[in-house]
Amino acid sequence: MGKIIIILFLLSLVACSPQGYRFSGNIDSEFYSEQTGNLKEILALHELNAEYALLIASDGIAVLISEPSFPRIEIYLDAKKISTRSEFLPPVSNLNDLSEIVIYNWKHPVVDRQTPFSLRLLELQFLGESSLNGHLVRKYQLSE
Amino acid sequence: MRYFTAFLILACWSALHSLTIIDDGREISISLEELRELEQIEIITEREDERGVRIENWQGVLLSEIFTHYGIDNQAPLKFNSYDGYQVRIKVEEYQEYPILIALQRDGKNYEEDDLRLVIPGMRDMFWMQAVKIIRTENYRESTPPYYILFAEDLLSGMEVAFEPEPFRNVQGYYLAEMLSLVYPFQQDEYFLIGRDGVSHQLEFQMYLKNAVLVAADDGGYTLQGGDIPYGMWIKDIAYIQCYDRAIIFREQFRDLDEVGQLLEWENLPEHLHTEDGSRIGIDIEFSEPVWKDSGIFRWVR
Repeated sequence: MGKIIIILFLLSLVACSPQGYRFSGNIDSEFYSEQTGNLKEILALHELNAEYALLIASDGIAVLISEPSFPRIEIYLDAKKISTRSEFLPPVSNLNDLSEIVIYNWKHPVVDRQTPFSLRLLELQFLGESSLNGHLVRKYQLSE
Repeated sequence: MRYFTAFLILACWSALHSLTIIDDGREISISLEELRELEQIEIITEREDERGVRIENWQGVLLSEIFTHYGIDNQAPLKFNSYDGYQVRIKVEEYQEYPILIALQRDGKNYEEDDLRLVIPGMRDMFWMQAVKIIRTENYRESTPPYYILFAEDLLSGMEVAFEPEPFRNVQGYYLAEMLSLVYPFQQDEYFLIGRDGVSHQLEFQMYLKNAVLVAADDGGYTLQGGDIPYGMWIKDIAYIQCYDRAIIFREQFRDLDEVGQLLEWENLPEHLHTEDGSRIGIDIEFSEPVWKDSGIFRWVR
């Protein structure tokens, strides 16, 4: 009986777990979104001012893009997973299973020379930079 | 024991290789013996210091000869690092204009494996180097204009002045890391920095910049110095900092954006920059005009 309750409890946790991807970083409070479409429009929909967005996939691969690239990247639903794609930005911008978008805005308070965005970036290892059509995209990986 | 043996082998192997060239991901280790097998040339230089004029006779291998021998077709700027952390950058034009010598000998006296010299007759000796360790070919982004532009004077005006910032005495200034933290999230990255006289460096934040200080000079400019930046690499009248697509301009060093573009060799300038509220400021308006002050962040929209 005890085992069944534990299994039911775990199943309920899975069922209740937030869907979509998380918005975090230099914003007032974190939240989850399932919104798909172009990143610029999604940010506008959530009333988020961003200069940089760090898109992190569930496998730990991340890309950092700047404001001019926001309209060029699409967040879409792909086989029950939310992914990103762009035909205009470097191919590294195509992420499978997006889990988090970390927002940078320079007006966010800086405490001990850090913001939530810069602290999150410190958890990642810089892998390289790639450029296409005048857009520069930086690739990172979550450090082990 | 196994680890100790591996360490010993690695240490011995490293000791046998005096110079490393990194070109487009390819790493080439070259020993002193291998350098001696290449064509040796002799260069006589004259340098003036407080003791008078020094005439020196250098013997070694031209970098172009080393590149040819190892199949490196260099069209990129070069970065040199020494064993003691000194770093210099050479532009493509400078590489093509000046003979760059890896000196194995001076005035008939041989240098040790880990003490080879970088000698560039025609360039100031701050570009010369002792104990050259790594030569890296790389594509800098210095000519890639930024998207975001901020002004240093506006950032510094909101910061606390540091009196006698460590390790300096009788000076005042600002901690660079504090200014960078206000506008950059990148703390594990390289920053491009250039002085008004054109001396520039691409420096890693963690290795060189985290303890650096902007020391106020009497003429209103700032010298970037200290912390972990070797003395010869200090930047007098620092004028511009860029990382990724974000730049800080020291407004007092320039008349207008056109002058910034000339220093950085930007090919095209915009007609105007966009302010945060969406208004436009023509780039022909001089930096001394109030419209540039305390306006926050500007965008160079293409």
